[in-house]
Amino acid sequence: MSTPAPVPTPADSAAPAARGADAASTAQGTSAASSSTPAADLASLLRRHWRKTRLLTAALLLVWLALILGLGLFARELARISFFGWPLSFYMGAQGALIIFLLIIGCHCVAMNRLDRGVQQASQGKPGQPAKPAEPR
Amino acid sequence: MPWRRTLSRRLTAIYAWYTLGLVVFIVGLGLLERAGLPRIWIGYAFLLGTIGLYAFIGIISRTADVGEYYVAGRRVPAVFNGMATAADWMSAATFIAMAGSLYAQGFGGTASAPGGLAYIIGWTGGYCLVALLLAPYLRKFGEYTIPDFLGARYEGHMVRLLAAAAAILCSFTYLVAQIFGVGLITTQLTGVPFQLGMFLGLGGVLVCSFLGGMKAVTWTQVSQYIILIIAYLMPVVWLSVKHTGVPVPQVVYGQVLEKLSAREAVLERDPREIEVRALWQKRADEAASRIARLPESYELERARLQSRREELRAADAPIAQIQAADRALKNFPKDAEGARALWAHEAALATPKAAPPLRQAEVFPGRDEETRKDARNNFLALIFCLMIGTAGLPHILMRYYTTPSVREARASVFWSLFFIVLLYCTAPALAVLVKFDLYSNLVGIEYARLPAWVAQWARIDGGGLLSIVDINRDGIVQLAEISINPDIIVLATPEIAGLPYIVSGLVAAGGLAAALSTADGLLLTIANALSHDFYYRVMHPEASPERRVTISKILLMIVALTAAYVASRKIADILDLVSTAFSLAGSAFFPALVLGIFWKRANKWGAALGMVAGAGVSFYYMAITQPWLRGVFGVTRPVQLWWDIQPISAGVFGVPVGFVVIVIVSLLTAPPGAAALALVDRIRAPEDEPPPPPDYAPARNIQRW
Repeated sequence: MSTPAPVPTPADSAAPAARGADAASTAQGTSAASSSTPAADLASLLRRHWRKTRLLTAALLLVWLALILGLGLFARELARISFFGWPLSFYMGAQGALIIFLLIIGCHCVAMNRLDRGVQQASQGKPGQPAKPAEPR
Repeated sequence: MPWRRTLSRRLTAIYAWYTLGLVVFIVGLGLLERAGLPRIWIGYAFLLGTIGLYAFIGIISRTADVGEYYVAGRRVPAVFNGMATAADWMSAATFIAMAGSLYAQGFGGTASAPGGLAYIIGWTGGYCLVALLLAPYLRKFGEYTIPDFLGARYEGHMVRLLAAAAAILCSFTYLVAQIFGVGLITTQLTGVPFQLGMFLGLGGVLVCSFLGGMKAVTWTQVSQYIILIIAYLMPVVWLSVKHTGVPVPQVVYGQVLEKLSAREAVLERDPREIEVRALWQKRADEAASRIARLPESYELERARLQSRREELRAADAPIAQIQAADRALKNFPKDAEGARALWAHEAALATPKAAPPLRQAEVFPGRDEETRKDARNNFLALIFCLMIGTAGLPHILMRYYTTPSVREARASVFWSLFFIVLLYCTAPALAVLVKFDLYSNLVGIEYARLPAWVAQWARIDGGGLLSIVDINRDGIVQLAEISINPDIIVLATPEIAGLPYIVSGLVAAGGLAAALSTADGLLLTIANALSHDFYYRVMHPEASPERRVTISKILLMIVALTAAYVASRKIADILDLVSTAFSLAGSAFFPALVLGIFWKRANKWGAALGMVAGAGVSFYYMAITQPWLRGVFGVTRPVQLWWDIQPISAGVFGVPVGFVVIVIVSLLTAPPGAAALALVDRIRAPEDEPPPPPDYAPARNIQRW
């Protein structure tokens, strides 16, 4: 797999030594010194994009986990509540949870599309920028 | 992207016409049935009609192009990829057995047999993991197989080969289960022998995936989804109209559940039901006491049978009675050990019927708080195992390589789940409606007026699927006198609802579509792992694209025949095979994939050892606890469960072990190299709108559909 990258990625802008020591955090914050160059600008853009992506993913996974654990742990309490004829725990297991799963995925789609568009516009909107990160397919 | 929009519109038109054609076909057959077409012909029409259709799609979308063969040219629109994934995903087990499991296990089953809604929640919740953690990143990576990604991310052939081996292992196990299902349904539909039915079904799959690879399989799966969703919804809508007057069962079955719960309470206290349950208890006790008094009870019982025959002969009883006594004596076991097995079997059959049946909406039943907690823990463990297994099955993940962009890959997970939920929302409605129908229309009628479908199903398999016996000789059916195998619930629903035979044929054809579509996806996964990962990437990187496709086609044939051979041996039951595949897929793939994307420090040593350790732990746990694998490995020591978790959820142990091993080993060894880190950065970065693939100019592109 070749990576013809005319645009430096965040890891490339970080010092090789830093990558060795703690590669996991290179995406978050290093290379303040070179932030004035256009390439580093894009790098920080991508870093922010990735941070927001992770936050979004974590938040949605939290909803997902809370839903399942809540349903499992409080099923007997929920069963006493009637919901259009269904005991609430049965309804949630048979339909409610499924609809919430769909909503979680839908939210992720919409939010990620918006995040992606933000990066594209920001990288295109600035004069003297490379048009956009070239993507090998 | 205009070429994409045109393609989408064009596909919508094609499938709309197709659906219309399907409806005309069904209505036509229905009219022919009224005119007196024999049932067997309807069965053959459905079997040959649908298999012929799949083969036809295979022929018109045949290809020898690598991109088309492995990833359908990467231009399947999100909605259609969603439909194809839904068909790929929903197997024979989902279509046929899931509603039955809801019927038998209610909310969540018991401590020793978790199930029920756990299947619904687990098999849908897994898509959240696919959407949030995997699909977009895999699409951004944009190669051909899952081992491809792991090989690139973890630098080299070690992890690629491990991943390919794991993909083959779990897909093959799952494939055997599907082919087994194909055989069962074809037999049911037309009465041909099991082996022949299996190969007939397999023929359709082979023509399709052999000629057209992923491209043909995708368009076939879309058509299979349409068949299976119509087949699943039709009888349930009918039952819903019958009991509530509203044709949307998913919305109104709450009322039926309320009525069912009231009926359950009445039947629990009914004196005749109590009488029958007491008779079952007596049978169980007698069998137990006879076992306790072995070996003299063996001689006593045989002497009793002999003297009964002599009495009848002496009294000049009707010939039928004498013959029955003869038969009883002839079938009596030859020694004390045989008698022990027979009586133990009798006791095992009678004991559960001595207790009132599980209530549909009852949550975590149990004698005491301890058992109820156990049931809850097993319910949650099963959910997690199914979810992570879903997110680890290579044949599902592979489908997201086929969309035109990352954006569409994300949307396509949404559509996958949407189309899956259509069926999954209906399964509990089906279970509740059928149960209410049986509890109110079958229980309490006279034996002389049993409906015709009872006799038909009771004939199959010597009463193993359905038997109704008048235990207390009052001439009226009691609930405790009905033994029904949950696996027949879906197949028998049309008859229970009083629909014509054509609907039964349609439901069987739907089950066949579910099994075949899954088999298609699995076959491709296995053949691709062998031809792409083993042959091309590792052995012959210089192989030409044509050669790769040819090799893949040959391997596909070999894999299909091997799987058919294994399935024809009937080595294990479907549920054991499916749960094994899920536990293995979840623990081998999920940790390595997720950490590969979200943790840059994960390296090849960690991934390799983590995959082996995770899958190893799951496999070890199943080998010492699951009846099938215990038999395979000859494990004889008593079953020792860990934290009382049933073997069906073995992945609950394998997945955390996988994560922990990857983290620890990665931290102890050198960090990954620059290429791997650049890859991670690339898949994390947002995409821009990619141009249409250069070799598919729009005009030509459209013509080819």
